Amino acid sequence: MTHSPITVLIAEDDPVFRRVMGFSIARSGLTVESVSDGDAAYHRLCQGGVHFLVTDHQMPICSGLELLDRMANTTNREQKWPPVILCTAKGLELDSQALESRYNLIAVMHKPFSPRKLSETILQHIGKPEFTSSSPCLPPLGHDGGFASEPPQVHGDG
Amino acid sequence: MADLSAPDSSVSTTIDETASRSATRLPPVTTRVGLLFITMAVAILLCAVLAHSSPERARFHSVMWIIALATCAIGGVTAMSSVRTLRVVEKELRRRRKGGRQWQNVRPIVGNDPVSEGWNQLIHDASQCDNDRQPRVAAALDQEVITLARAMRGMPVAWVITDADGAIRFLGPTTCGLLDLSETDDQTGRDLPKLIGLRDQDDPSAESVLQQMLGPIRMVHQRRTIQVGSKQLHVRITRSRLPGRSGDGEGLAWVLNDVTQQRIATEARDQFLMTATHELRTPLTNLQAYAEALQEEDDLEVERQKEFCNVINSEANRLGRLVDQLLTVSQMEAGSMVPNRHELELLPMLEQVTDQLKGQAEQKQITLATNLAVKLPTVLGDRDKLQAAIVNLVGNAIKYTPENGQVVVRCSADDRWIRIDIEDDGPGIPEDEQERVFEKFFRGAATRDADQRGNGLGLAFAREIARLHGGEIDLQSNIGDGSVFTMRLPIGGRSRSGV
Repeated sequence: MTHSPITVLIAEDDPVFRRVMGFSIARSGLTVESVSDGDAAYHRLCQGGVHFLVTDHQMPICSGLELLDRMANTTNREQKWPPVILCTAKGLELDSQALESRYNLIAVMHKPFSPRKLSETILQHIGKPEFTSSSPCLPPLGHDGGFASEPPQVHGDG
Repeated sequence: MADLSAPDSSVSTTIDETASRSATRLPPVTTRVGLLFITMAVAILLCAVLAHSSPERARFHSVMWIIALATCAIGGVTAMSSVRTLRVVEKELRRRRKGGRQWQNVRPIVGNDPVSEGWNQLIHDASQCDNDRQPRVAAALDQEVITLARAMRGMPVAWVITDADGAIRFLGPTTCGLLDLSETDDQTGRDLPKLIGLRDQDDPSAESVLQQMLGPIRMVHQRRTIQVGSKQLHVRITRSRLPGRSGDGEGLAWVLNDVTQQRIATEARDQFLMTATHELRTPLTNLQAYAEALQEEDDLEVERQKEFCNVINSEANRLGRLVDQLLTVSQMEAGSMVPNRHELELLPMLEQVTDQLKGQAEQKQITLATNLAVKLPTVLGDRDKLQAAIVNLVGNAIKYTPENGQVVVRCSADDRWIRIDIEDDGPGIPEDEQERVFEKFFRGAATRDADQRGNGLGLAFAREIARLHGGEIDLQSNIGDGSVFTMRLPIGGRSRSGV
């Protein structure tokens, strides 16, 4: 399979679910990388080259919300973060609307959800069809031009 | 002699006056009268001696006679005056007895001697008591009211009757216990809303709750957290209005219900349910996701399809196991589980367990070795539950042992216990986590790192089972050296001598 220029990072502690999410997203033509906790995700994000983040809420070592807080509180103003989808098994206990506006999330997805819907949401957001035909080579993270519909979300300035 | 009794209206002034004067301390009346008679006898004796000394002087004799008679007369009058107060008291008491009337009709005495003072004070005190009791006198005769009042005092319910502003009029002994008030002190007139924190200026909700409580609504329910001493109590307050009738004022009846324990239990249950639903959603999510992946992808290789079906199968198993364990663990913690007690041979059970897990071990090229005693005493227990617990322990050992490692199951017995050791080659458990691994839903830091999955109930379940049988699970582990879980079960049943 040829590597898609768009990389989606999955942070999820359950290896079985991580695998099926990765499978579904890869099937929709994106490159997938995965890590098992928020801390690893943060370090991977800092290296750049990630265009979309899908993170679980409850993870060991560093939870999804801790990861989002770390991203929001970063001191490096040059650092630009990809758009985020938060997955959670917490159901109705969470105020997803508040979370969406607080962390500028694309969506909060409640488990159990369909991985196909997740892929669709990602594709919808990055405007994949137009994107692949217009710019086959994605500039590195930090340049906004890579996304046809919307620039990556910038956290931490507010 | 004049009647010294004064009208009732003068009681208070008389008492005030007498109290303000410092009464001279006289000896008691019997001593006084006795002394008087001794004096008289001495005087008469003196007269007789003097008369005897000059028998020829008739005039002198007459004078002595007159002096003796006068002494007797003066003595009699003085004695009468000494007991005059007592006479009035006697008269008052007799008057009361004759009429068979209430003691209130006894009148106070004018005078500043200790007896009058004491008598007047007695009447004053009694009239005070009587004022307090006066409205109850009629009711006290009513059997029904007496029974109800006793029942109110004996009820294990914290009740308070206040006036319309919340000042306490009556309260039950349970209330004193709840609010940490002294039962012997008079609590009448204290402000109940203040005692239950409703006049707290710092609490913004207190004001509106207080208004509602003292308001015109017939019955009000509220839950409040109140501070009693150093304790925090959760209380359910029910307040109902008492309509006023002739003779008793309008008021409020309050019932305070301590729900602290219930609240703690509810919180624990919610926490458990929250964690449990999270754990249940995880396999459910996987089931849905893999089923969907199978369904959506038409051109999936056969190998992949098989793999996905395996995942669905194992996730469904996991879900089933989880449901079983959740119920069992919570039942056992609540103490509502009754284990079956049968005489059990452990050796066949252990063989069954190793057979069951052999496949799992082979997948990771792990040697599953057993080192069992030739013959073991029996235990009294529940076969299914014990087997499930041992499967959990051995399964855990296989799960955390790296490939090509070894898991050893040993079994031995002494005169009290049967010990089942399960030793693995895993990474070991750090000391600070050794106790916590038995907690529900706890997962060690190292296991979270690795691609190992579990629901965090296996060890909690195994330990509860062991304890249910009067045994225990001990853990010995060092980082890098693997772990040994030892299940101890007490020997029981008839075949004790079979060792």
